[in-house]
Amino acid sequence: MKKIVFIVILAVFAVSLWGQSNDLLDRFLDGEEADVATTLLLVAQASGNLPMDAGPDDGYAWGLEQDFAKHVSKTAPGDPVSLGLFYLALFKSYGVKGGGMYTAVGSPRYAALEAGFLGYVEPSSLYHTRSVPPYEVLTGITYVTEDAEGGEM
Amino acid sequence: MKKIPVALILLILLIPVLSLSAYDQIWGARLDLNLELPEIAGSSFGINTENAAALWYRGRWSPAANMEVDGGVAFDGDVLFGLTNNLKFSFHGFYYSVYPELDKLNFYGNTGMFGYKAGRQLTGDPAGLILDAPFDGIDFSVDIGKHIFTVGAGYTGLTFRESAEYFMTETDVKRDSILAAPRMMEYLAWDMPAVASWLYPSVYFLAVQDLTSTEDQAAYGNQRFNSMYLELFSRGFLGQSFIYDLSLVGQYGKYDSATVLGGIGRFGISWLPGTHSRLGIDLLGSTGDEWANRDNYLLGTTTGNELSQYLPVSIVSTQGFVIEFELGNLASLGAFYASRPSDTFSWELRTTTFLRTAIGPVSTAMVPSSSTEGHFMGQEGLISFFWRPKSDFGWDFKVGVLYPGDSIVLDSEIAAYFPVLYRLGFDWSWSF
Repeated sequence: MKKIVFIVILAVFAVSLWGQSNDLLDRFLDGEEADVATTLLLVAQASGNLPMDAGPDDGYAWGLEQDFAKHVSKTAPGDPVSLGLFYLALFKSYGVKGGGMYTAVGSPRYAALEAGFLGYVEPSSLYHTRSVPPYEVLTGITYVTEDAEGGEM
Repeated sequence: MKKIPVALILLILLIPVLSLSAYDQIWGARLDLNLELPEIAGSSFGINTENAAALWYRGRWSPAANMEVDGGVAFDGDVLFGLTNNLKFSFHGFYYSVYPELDKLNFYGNTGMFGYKAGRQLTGDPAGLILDAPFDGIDFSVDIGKHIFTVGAGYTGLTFRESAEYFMTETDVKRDSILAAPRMMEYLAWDMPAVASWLYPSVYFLAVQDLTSTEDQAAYGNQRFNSMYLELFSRGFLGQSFIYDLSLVGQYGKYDSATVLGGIGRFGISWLPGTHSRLGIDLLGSTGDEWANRDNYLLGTTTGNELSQYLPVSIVSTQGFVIEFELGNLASLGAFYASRPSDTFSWELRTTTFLRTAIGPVSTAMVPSSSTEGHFMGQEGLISFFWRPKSDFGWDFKVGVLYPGDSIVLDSEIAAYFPVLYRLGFDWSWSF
């Protein structure tokens, strides 16, 4: 439990560096499941693709413009984001190089498998369709931001 | 009547599963290809290949209700050649086998300190000296922090023979069935993961009852072999730069009128001079029987009321690359250096001395019953390269040379061409 709290604090601290509004983060962290729009917003802001004053709708719209848009379009902005879609957006936005099938197909399932290979997700919870708790979104972004294997740093 | 409790248990497990709506899943596939040469079989030599394609799937309704499936098909083949009287190559044939594999088809989960797994699952002992194979059964565990207790029981006779490799008697190998030898197994395990950094001990007990039919016993001239194993295993850090593992296994069994008392011990210690290299030694020794007591490595025709050869339940932790030795009647002394210069590439250099502890049968046909000369079976040098450039792709390449001892006997037609034995191996794996 202490480890989780520490990770959350670390992640919140990391996010605060991006300048995201506290209200938005508070609402995001209060939820049990991360939503698609806010998750894409945080990913886009962390990777420098959206300004700090953008909102969740901007994040969803940004997602619809990316090469993984077809997976975003299958969701509504308020839907829980799946583990696979989260890591697909995260890896794509940071240019993380993955395995051959991930590079060729780039589906949420392959992104989740990459996250498992990199050690970002415990094997016991590696299900690409599962919803993602808000703190896991923040820790995932922190992993990719700090991990030298995470592509463009 | 025995089927009713099993059905009830499955039903009880399925009720929470079906009553929950959220369902998460993930799946994948693996392709493993292998090529090794030369393969020596009697007066022939050639190329050996072992390949497998598998699909896996995991689904979760809740932490207490999960399922997993892992299965596929394997293809093994040998292309063999020989030499004619004129010293010309002749084709001796292409022998192959295709067989199914199903390692997992089970429900599992945990709630609080309790965990369970029911169905087809992989099972094994902590040290990897007794078995490593699938079986159909149930496994319960209780984790109370500094102690983890596990109890389980299952049946081997519905697993696939060639992939499970439950080979203890000659009947297990000879019987005309796609399914493995029928045996019941019950085990208890006690793990203490947090005793100290230098001490992570485990105690494991396994009982095996041979259910080979009377017809099969008569057809192949073998008896049933019932056995029990007690294993003590510990591993941990010694200081900050050394890691070790120590295993002791005792085996007690009954084969016809004979009592089998065997055992095996293994000790390994490695020095970690940095984060990317490792230097170590490993020693292994198991008990064996002399030719006067048995005519084969596996249990077949035996003499006397006391047998000593250690025999694992399934093929596990084989030793050597040029010749693969199974664990019974074997002593090996190895030294190695391994290095990982990058995150995607590593290599290992190893030398191992192989001996038989008794002047009797070992698992390879290259030590025939006519071989009564000495314990020394060979000195092997092996270099291995491992490359995993991507998360879903990897290969390894091995080159091994074995200077054979007097106990290794090659067919006279090819012996002159193999003053030393060597082997090249290539493995390629792709997951997607």
